[in-house]
Amino acid sequence: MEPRHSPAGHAVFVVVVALVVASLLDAQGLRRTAEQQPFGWKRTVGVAVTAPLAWVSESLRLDRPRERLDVALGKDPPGAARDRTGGGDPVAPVAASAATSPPTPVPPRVPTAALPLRLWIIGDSMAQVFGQSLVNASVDSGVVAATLDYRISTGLTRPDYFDWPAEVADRLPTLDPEVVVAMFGANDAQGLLLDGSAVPYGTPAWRTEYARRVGALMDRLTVGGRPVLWVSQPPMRSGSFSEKMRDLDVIYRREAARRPAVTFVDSTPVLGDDDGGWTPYLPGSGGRTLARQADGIHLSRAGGDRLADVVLARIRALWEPGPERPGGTAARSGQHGSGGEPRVGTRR
Amino acid sequence: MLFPTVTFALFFPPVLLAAWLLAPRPLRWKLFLLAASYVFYAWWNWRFCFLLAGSTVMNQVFAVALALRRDRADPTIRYVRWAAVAANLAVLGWFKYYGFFVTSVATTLRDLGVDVSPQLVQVALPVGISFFTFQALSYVIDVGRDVLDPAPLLDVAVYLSFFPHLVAGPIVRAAEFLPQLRRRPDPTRVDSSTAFWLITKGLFKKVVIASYLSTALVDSVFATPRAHSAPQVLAGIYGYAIQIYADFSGYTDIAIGLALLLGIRFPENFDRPYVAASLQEFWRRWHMTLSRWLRDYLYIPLGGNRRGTRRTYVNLMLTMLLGGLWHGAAWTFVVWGGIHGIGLAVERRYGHVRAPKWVQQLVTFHIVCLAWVFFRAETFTGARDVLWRLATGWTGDLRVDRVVVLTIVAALAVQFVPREAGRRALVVFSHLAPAAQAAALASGLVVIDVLGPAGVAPFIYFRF
Repeated sequence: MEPRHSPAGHAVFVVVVALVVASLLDAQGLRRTAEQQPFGWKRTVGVAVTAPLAWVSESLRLDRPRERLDVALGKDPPGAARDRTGGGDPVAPVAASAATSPPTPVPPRVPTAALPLRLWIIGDSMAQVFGQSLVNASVDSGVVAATLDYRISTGLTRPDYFDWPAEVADRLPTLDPEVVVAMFGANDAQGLLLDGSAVPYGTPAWRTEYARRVGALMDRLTVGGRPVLWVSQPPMRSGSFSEKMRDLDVIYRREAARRPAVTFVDSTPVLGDDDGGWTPYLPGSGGRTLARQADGIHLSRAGGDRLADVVLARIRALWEPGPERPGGTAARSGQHGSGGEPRVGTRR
Repeated sequence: MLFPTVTFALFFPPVLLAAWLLAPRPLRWKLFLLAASYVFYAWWNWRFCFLLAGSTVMNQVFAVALALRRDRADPTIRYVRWAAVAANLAVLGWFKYYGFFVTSVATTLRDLGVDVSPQLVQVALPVGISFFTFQALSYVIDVGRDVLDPAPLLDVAVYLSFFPHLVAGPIVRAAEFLPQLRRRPDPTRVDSSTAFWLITKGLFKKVVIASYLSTALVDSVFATPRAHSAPQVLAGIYGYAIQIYADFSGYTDIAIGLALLLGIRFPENFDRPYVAASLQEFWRRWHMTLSRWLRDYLYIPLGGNRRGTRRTYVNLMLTMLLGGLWHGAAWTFVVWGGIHGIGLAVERRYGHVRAPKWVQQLVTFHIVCLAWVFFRAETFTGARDVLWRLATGWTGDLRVDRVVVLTIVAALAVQFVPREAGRRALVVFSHLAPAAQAAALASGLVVIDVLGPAGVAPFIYFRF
């Protein structure tokens, strides 16, 4: 027996009604998606369309099935996630005095194969390939156990989309890393929400608030003098985008300079051309290798490997005697360390 | 514009409605389909619309030139045919293989002691170029072979740009597509139930299965194999076998379903490939439209199996090596093709050796998985690390996430379910009232959204 064929009008009707019903059933999720768009006319239109949809869905309790499914699967319903991240200060300071009296850096102990150094790598999609390369380099070192947590399309401007400070607060006590490597910024050249109002990217108010968020995250990470290596954004193919990343790097560099436990790692000498500009190919012993992906933004494996080698050398310098070692204090043999295989976190 | 996005959900219904309203007027109908397809393509990068249009015009010029010479029995037709093939491959070569070719030559010369520093530029790869180039080649070659007559330019433009198959296939041949444009779809008989089933199945495969396996294990294993134990690596390899099947066949299902709703029928592209008991059977079940293309436009023109045993092996290897290179500009893809080529040659040589079917299926699946390691790894070093870790990593944390294992086992088990099993449900669905069908479809969409991870990565085959 064959499936029955239908008139075209029937097909159009089913498609349209199915999409309308699905959007009512998932109205909260659609509203959240709209709210998470970069500030601009697309977001305004999206919110304007989805807000009444969400109201109808909520009034008719059409959002309940989706909520129940989410709960059954242990997921945050879209509305609940919005409530959790949508209000309040997205990046509250760790302590009132954190920014004014930053902790003195405590160099990590000398790690061993039995007690490897616990390294935590965090960031956006720029941290994906680079972080994976750093995990590989850590494995090869034999004395560093790395955990990688990257989240695509995230940053510090939009905690309503992904709340990095909350993530750090959640994960820091469990992981108890001895060193943290952070790489943010690729998604941050956009407006942010401050006291319920959108602040356009690049304005003085934006710079002040963004710098505050960067500083607050640094403070949170460096509690107890934990060393943090903050990796800058490399040059990008698009001149205007590259310029925006340079602006952010100025903020990262300035905030890092205010905190002795934070080391600013400039990726431009590693991934840029001789003049610090964009180049997709880099010279190497095996000839010129493609260091960037086709989008002109992200790193290729070769680019990630090259940046990882530099960052791992800076991490080694934290415990090995040498001119780059911060603080000048002797490295200590630590009490922590679970040993075993390095871990690689999963993207969520 | 990705299929499983809100943007596409907003794009498709008005296109579907307008396409059927305009269907009685062929010129307007085709112009509308063309415009919608170019909007779809421009969503990625509008500049590449000029490339697509240029390719269309160029191939139409070649097709007309071939037809004129064909009708006059002009012996120069072969030169025109070669020029058409060369021109298409030159465009593909520039966009897809320029960097690969230049760096490979420079490295080889350096190994020979000749130091060269070529000027390298990073050429942006237009999405779908491999697919529409192969479709264009099928058009001009078939015209040259007298299988087809040149179609009107508008028909060729719609054929090459038709959005359901534009960016990742299936590779629909001109001879399969153009007659449907001439006939026009019948608005009283749309196979909408099959279309809804395919679209829902495709979304589930992509959004739930492929995305989950990729984020839960596969990406991590292939990026950092040295940080995983052997059981995790093994699960990562099996997981990739499922992921790429779910990703690509999911896209194909959606594409075939969307085309069906618009009244156009595409050829089948996948048929439970992991039940194959030989590599030959695998290629009759995996990316069937590419297999048929390679057979008809490469393997047979090379001589196929008509020029002796040794030449048959050479033809098989060449076809599979070039098939590998079609997927991507990297030597790892060539090795992937080489493994399949060697496997096919060995099967042809020792095909008479019999073993229980399940043994043959097991061996075939694992050869395919071995080849997938090279397909997925970014470099030879990466592939070597994966295989080395698989051989040596039997200490440390051997645990594998249970949900990952369950997903892989379930996805493999489904391959063994007879195709007819879902037929009865489809027939029942097709007899439901439209409102009930819409409610079922809406529920399916929401369940898929709930089960899938946040964000959907682009389809793997977009980069090919």
